[in-house]
Amino acid sequence: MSGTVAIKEGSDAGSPLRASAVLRFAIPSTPAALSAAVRLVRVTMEWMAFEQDWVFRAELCLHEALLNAHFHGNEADSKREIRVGCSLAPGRVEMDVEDEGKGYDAHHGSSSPLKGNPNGRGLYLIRQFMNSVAIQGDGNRIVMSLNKE
Amino acid sequence: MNISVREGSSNTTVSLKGRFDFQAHMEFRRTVEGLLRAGHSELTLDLSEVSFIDSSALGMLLLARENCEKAGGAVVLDRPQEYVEKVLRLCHFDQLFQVTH
Repeated sequence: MSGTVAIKEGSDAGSPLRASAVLRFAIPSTPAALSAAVRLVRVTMEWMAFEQDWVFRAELCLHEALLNAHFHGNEADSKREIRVGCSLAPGRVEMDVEDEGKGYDAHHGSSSPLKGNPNGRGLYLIRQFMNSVAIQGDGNRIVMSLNKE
Repeated sequence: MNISVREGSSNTTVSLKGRFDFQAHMEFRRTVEGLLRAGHSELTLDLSEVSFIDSSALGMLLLARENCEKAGGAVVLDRPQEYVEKVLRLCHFDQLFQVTH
């Protein structure tokens, strides 16, 4: 994994409660790296004292976006990379995931998945748990955010 | 994820512990297939110690349900934690499985 982590302290020096953080890194397209990326974001959010519901939503949606990038975008090719961006601030989480594949249909997974179908729930879950989701580029980059209304 | 099995005469409990995600695919499939081969098709999946579930695990649950039903049995989802249950409900699994608490 290579990248940068920038943490800006809030008005209460030493307190993570009003801090903001920007993480930007690239990982090899492997299951182990995918899990490490999710863990890094979860630990950062827990350190920043995000409410548990947001930590759960961000963890699940980043995990699902990375699964799509690894299996569908990069076709599980460990020589390819996945680029991850994560901007965390009080009341706002924005994440983006980009793979090196050909992209996928932005409308896939937008409606309720077929009840008995074992596939096709990743993007559906992301759309359910995030406030906004956009598929960009050639369909190989997803940008998703949570905002306090 | 850790999987443990307690076989009963009419019902078998499969206890799952940890993260139920794509990395558990082989172990979960092997466990269910082994139980079906041994004639156990009434399965209760104890989810009380599952802290995370992803879309791959949902697919595994559906396949387990399909195979158990083909063998004349069923799969019951027992005591999912709050966030796991939220995911199950969003994907309508509460209409496909019996969920017990």
